[in-house]
Amino acid sequence: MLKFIFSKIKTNTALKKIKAIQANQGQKDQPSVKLLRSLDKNLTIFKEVLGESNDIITREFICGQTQMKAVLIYVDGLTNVAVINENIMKPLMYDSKLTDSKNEAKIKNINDFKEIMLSAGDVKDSDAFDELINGCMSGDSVLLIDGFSSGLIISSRGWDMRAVETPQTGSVVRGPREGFTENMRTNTALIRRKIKDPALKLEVLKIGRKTQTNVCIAHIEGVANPGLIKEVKDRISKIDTDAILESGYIEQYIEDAPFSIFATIGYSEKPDVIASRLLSGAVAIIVDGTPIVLTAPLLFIENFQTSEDYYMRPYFASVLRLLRILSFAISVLAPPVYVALVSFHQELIPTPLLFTMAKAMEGTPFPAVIEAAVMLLTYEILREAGIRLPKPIGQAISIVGALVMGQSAVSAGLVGAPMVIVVAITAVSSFVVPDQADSGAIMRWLLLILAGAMGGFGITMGLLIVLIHLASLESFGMPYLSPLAPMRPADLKDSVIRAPLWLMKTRPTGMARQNPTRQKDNTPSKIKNPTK
Amino acid sequence: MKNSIGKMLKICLSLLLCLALSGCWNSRELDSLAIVMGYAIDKSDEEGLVDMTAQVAVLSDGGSSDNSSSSSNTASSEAYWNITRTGSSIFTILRDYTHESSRKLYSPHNQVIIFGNDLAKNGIRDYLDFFLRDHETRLNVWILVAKDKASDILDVKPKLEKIPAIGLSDLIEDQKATSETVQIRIRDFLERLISDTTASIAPLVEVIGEGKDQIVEMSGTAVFKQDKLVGELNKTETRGLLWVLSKVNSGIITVEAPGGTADLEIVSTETQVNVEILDDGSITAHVKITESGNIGSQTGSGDLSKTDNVKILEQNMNDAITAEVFSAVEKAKELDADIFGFGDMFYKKYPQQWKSMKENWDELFNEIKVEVEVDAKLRGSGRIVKPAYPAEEE
Amino acid sequence: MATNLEKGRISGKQLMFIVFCYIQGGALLSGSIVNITKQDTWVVIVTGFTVALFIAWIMVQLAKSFPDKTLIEINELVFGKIGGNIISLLYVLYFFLLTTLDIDNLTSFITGFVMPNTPDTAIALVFTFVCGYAIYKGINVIGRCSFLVVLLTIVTILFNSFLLIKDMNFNNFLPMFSLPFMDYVHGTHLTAVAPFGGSICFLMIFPFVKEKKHMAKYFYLGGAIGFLLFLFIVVRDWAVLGTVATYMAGVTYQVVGLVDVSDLFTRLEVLYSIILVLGLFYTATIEFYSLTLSIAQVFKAKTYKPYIFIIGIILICLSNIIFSSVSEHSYFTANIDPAFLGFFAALLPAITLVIASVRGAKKKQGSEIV
Repeated sequence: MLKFIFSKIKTNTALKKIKAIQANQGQKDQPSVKLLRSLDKNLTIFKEVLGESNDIITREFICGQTQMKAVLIYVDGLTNVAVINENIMKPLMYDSKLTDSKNEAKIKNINDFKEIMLSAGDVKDSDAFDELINGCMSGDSVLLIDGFSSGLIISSRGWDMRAVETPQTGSVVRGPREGFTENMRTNTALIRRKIKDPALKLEVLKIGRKTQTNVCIAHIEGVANPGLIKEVKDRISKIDTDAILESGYIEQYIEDAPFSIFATIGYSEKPDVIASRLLSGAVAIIVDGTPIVLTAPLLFIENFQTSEDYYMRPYFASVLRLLRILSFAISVLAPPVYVALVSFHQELIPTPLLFTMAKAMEGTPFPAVIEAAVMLLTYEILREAGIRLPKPIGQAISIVGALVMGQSAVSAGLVGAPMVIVVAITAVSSFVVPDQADSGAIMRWLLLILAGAMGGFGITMGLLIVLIHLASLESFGMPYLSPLAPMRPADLKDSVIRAPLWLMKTRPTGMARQNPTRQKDNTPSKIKNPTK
Repeated sequence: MKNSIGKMLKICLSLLLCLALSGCWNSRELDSLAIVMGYAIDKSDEEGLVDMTAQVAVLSDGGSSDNSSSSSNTASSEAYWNITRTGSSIFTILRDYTHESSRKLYSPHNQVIIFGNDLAKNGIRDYLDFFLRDHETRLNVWILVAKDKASDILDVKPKLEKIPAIGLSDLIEDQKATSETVQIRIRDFLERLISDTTASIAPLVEVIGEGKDQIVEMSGTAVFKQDKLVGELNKTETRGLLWVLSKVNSGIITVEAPGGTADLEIVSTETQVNVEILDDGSITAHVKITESGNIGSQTGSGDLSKTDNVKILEQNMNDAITAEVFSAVEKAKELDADIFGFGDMFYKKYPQQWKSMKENWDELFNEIKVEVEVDAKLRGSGRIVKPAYPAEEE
Repeated sequence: MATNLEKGRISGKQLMFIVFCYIQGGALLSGSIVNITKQDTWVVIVTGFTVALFIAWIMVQLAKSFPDKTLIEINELVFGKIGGNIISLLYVLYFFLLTTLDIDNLTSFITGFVMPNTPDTAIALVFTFVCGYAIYKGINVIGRCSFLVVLLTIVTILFNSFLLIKDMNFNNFLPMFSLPFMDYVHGTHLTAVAPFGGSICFLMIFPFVKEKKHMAKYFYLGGAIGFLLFLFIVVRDWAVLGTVATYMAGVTYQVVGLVDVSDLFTRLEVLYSIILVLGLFYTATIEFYSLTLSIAQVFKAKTYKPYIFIIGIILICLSNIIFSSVSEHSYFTANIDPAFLGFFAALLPAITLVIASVRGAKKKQGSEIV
């Protein structure tokens, strides 16, 4: 009787503590509640915490010659049933019968189970409830055996996931077409396939109280600066929130300049891009559940570089880079400059063009600023609608938008034809650098307001403000505008142009201080010895 | 940090409000501008006043409901509108235009400024001042003097262009082909005007013909003393002047040739002028012209590919050019106007002596001895080598 | 102490670029000098540069004697607490006037040529705000942007000049050396102090340069290249316009407006106005920065950032009232400005240097420095 009450009390205390921990999950220095020896008690506690959800399976069985009671707890849907059946249940239930009881007496603690009896791959032992519960919820199977005060967490994860396919962002003409998936393990595997160096280290943190998302920090030991690694780790571990649903959450929590319109942490969906950034000394952050992998630090110029640049030959790659920068400039500057020219500086327009534009704008009711603002707004609406609509209707919208709205607006005399052309050019060029579409859009609006108020002077001041802001940004210690703003001549080879690969001997200045050299002299022999 | 973010936001907001509330003082919509293409300034019938005509480009195509104010024109809507007003100075007239025009005049695209003959005789310096001071005028505007009334020039509808002023501006640009007219921008005019001794020049235009068949023609150069019109150079004299100024681009000179005449095309020229004060106090200017050209066409059956004939042609060319230069010098001496800029050249070379020379430059200029040395070369003869005549019996 | 106020550091090369941009702000408005020395302006620029070099040398010497100390601290060390404070306050006033002059330069340029109807205050407001923003971010940022501005300036000027080659006439420079001697002296005085007059500001910036050893070299180099470009611009302007230039307000602006290559490259003065605004931005920012920093130091503040806003407002008001007419402005620039700048940029530092070396000599003899 007493024993019963006693055990009940024990159970309840443990239960209360666990509930308390669950409520305060994520805080550090939590006392961990230890398992009890009795299987029944443990099982009761487990059932209390996990509740009666339909997908949580508790499989009780007997194992071994000594008829030990054991329970396997796992979540259906998150586990690979074959592993459970073949690698856990079979050895414990079936093969154990084949050994003789003499060996079983050797089983002193749970570790022996781990080392001798189970044929599963990744097995950890733990005596803390929260670890076991976390493991169970992540898709591992939890094995509790009567009489032992620790349990085993056996890796048995397996679920339906998307296959590795071409990513939707970052499509290339030449280069690998693999993209990350939502599964962290697949992603790390894709990276490992690119960098086979054992110095590639992956550390996993669990962030987010309710989501317990696995966040993996990858870096190449000896290449990335230790300070950078530490900084990234510190910032991520300090995050204390309910949920991390996507890498964007991590990005917004740890970025250097949350109030800036420019992103200081880069992202990519392609393993070759991440691998090349790792090799430059960056740190990659892989978040379970999203194919978007973050890299820190990010320089402004990297927004204009694509992986394809490096797979092409240098001349055209440089031309393309310049084209991208030019397109970005056009997409940001075209409407404001047009408004400034038409409203303030008409003397800058060549005379024949002035006639055409004046004719076109004759009779339009609104000043140029308002026209520009309305057209840009329309464009933004169309663009956003085009993303959300299902594919069949999406085509119709673009035709409706372009032909009907644009053409009719001009014919009705609401806007002038040049304005429509300017907005169209803006729209098209903003897609050349899709990563910067967001910051570009905001800059466009700000510069438009300034241009409408003060013409060319306003635009100059606006650009100056942007320049100062960009120059003051730092991404994890690296100045945002290098290699242009703090002049780093060695890095100019890979900024607005792309020098031949055999000239790019060093990693970017400031990163990888311990290991700055990428390659030895690889100058093609024809250049070294032209006569031969 | 929170405080300063709030403060920053407030500052930015107040700045933005400033921009919005102000109303963008300088912003002008394109359809509120009357784009001026040409100005013509004449002496008014009333004493002491001037007439100014501004040629404004009319851009409204005329939509569906058009109460066209240019109903004074005929059925086909004109592409331009000449407004004439009278006043005492340029700036007052310009502002006065607002009494008549629904849009404010906009000058940066102005192509030409034409001065009437009577006005030029009285002096144009006062009227130039506005065009130099105003921000909207450009230093590249062409200056012209009309043979008679300036506003007549702007009334002539050009055959190939829509707006007379543009036609006139293109006409001036085309003069390079014959080099018988000077091309003067307001900045060139100013440069000569501020010099103590150099006479200003401007091309002359006149209206030829009657009624619908009127055309505008360039007909020589107007010569100013200070800012008053004193005389003219005809086309040949103008080219003589251009030879000395090294501004001949191209042109045709007809010379005597064995067997007839030949039209020689000037392809490239270079002139160097050397001024000298001789020991006896007299001054000379030594003009050395090098020229090369082609045979454009010939009359007669002389075979101009023979070297002897070529030499004859070159000599004739030398003579022709020298004659042109001397005709210009004669006319300049007659008008007492140093159009060649010899005075300035003396200043640059002999700054000390110039101080005393400046005083009586008029007499000195009259006595200046101009020596011309021409070196003409015939480079090519076109597509054919010999004239298309049957071979003559030698 | 200074190093607590400002955490940023700039490299030697960035110092060079900053000096270059600083000179451009003054150089691009070279109109008044051309009026005096006409075709021999290039001569006075060369001679002016040699004098300016001497002034720069004084500053470098001061900086070398007191490494890591800003001007205010140097004054305190040299003149004692009270004397130092008085001299520092004089400098503060000087910086105020310098910055106001530059803001006024900018507003008169914009209202003169680009947007005539806009009230001065609006332009000064926006401009001062941007300068204040740059200072708020620190010298670090100013240094980082300098390279881009330098690049843009040089490329634009070369491009414009290239297109103007066909309009250049080197006969305009004759006759040479035929002006009265006093004109040359006047001109030299102007060129020595006008673009480089506020160079004393750099004494507030020297402590923040990372490489002390080569700092002098970069300083001289920046000044030399700046003056070279100045010379280039003046030569080009005179070659294109000749005597007409003496009549123009804003010579370089008019010259660039003359570019007319086959109707394609016309009306390029917008490019020029952009680099002028950038140059003036740098000049005003450096002066504004020295002003803020020196006020913060004189009043022993922990950081200079709160002062930016207030000083900015004062500057905007001052720039409105500083000149009552255009002729007053040009009279000031031609006649009063050189003396004014000469005193503060050359004379006072020279005196400081002399006293410092005297005191330094005393120090070697064992007496204590205050």
